[in-house]
Amino acid sequence: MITLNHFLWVAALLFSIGLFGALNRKNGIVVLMSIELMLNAVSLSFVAFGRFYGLEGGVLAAFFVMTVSAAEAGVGLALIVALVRNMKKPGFHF
Amino acid sequence: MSTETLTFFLLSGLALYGALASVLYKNLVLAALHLALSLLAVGGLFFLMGAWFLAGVQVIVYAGAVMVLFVMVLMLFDSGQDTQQKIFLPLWVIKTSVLLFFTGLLTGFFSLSLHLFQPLLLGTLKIYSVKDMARLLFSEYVLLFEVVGFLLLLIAVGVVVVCQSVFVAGDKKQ
Amino acid sequence: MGSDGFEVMVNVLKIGAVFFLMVQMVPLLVWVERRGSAFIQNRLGPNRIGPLGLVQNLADLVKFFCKEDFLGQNVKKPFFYAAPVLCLLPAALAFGVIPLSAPVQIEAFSFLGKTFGPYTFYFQSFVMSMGVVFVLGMSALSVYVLLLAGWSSGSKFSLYGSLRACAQSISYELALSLSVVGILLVFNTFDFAQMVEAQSGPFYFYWGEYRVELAFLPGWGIFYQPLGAVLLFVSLFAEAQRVPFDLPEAEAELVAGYHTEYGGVKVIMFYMGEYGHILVASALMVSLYFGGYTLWPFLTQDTLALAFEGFSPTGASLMTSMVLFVVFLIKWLLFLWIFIWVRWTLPRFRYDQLMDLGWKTLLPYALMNTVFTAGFMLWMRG
Repeated sequence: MITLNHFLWVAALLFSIGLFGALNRKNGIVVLMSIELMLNAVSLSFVAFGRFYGLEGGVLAAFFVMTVSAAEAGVGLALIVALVRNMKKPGFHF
Repeated sequence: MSTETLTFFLLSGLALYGALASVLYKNLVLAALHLALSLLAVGGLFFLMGAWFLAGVQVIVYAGAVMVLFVMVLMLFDSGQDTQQKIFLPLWVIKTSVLLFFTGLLTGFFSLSLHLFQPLLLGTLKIYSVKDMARLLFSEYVLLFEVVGFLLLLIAVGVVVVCQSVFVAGDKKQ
Repeated sequence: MGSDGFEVMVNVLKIGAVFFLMVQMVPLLVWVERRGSAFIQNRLGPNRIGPLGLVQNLADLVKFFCKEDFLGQNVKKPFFYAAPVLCLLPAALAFGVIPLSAPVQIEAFSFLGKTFGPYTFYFQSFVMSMGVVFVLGMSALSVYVLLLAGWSSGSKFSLYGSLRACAQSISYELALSLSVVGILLVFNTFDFAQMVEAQSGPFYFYWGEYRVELAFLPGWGIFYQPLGAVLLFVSLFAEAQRVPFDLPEAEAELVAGYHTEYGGVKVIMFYMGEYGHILVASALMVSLYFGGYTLWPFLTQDTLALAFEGFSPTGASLMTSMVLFVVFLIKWLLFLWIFIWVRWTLPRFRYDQLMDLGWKTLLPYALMNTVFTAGFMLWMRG
């Protein structure tokens, strides 16, 4: 029997892994990916709460989180591409 | 063990494996691909909870566009070379203890509030309909909707400006 | 999957059968393409091996199997081998949700002493009430195969080909999703089966309080959304990377794009994947805009039920489904022929023309279509 706690555990673990990656990796792209992971974990817990308490707002909150995180990933990648282009060495060296 | 329990554990296992692999691998393309797998698994979890439209949007937008963008940028700069160290494991005493501390904190919170969450059978599923969500979007959350639309417009224009200014700067240097 | 053993077994066999159908259409399509393109170009095409050149495919297959399995120098092996295998997966999954015919109702019958209850078997691999969203998701996931194939080959030509293919794919995904929104608004559902059933009546709409019905037209999607149909058709060409959008495989420019470094059976698997995409695209057009497996007013479930009244309920249902499957097949093959026809008629787009078409032409028209359809639906429905 799957309760709310199961979903929240999964979300919390995903968030912790994302936080670990965001704090400890030097590479900018991996930090961006870890932030995506954290946002995903949060939207998972939003939907879990919404489903287990019968609220429609949970899924809508997850939609908004997804939109904002996609936009932010796009801008982050554009900035990283611009940064790498301006450096003399090819590839990612940060 | 019902199919729902089995599916839940399979999907969460995939999600956690993908997440761990994506923060630990030094090969960036592998990390991005594993993150895409993790996002797909979370989409599956959304489907399990009855939010099928959100699961579809997660697959289309997150795993199908955002991660593709990541992988494209990584491939463009050819950063998938194999390095000496396969997995990122620095000062692992300090860093893993950070992770353990955070998990321990969360465990503490959950065990304190365990009595609040009553188990609900997954069989009593309320399938979210797209119509109700759309009605809510345009009535209660319309301000948020408009603001997010404006944000997306801003982002689109901003990205084009950033890339163009890089071109201009690059030409001027010569 | 089913409540008892019989139903589960039939459903599992059905998944295999639908996949088998999809895979078996590929040699047929290859033959049609080779002969059809030859006739369009005023030549004969392969006609020596077997009658009408039908065994040519088999000969080519044997040749491909006997080729050497070479690897370039900078090849990344696991991804290199994985890419052709994964090629057919998204298309096969997407094909599974498209209904090929009406559901078959089987009455209760007794066999070897046990009674098997009444069943309803749907004529698709798996039944999903969100079929359209699933198909869009699978076409979004098929981009990964392009990326993996080009990048793992370890050569610059392949990489640039795959990046171009990927950019083209994600640009046209947007136009694809938006052009489908119009027909979703008209039929009010994400489910393919409901959409096909809604197209099995006369063409009607509400003008104020009056119901205007044009009884000589079937209620097909193309009459409700002509612009949407055209936009979807163009976007599907681009998604399947068929001419005039096949720049990623352009011979004159990039050798062979992202499958330059592949040889032998792996190329066959890539072509199977491409034809798989074409099969799904045709099935999508037929189900959304051309009535699916119905043909009002001649061949719908009701008229066929009348025609087969003499049979038992199970037999009548089976015969109805068979006839409607033939209807679907004919429409599907017609669209496949159109895909092949267009390939050998139009020249290829340049890369900037391609991207301009996707972002500056299709996207605004699709948005306009969505807004107008939404406005009209709002006015029509109260």
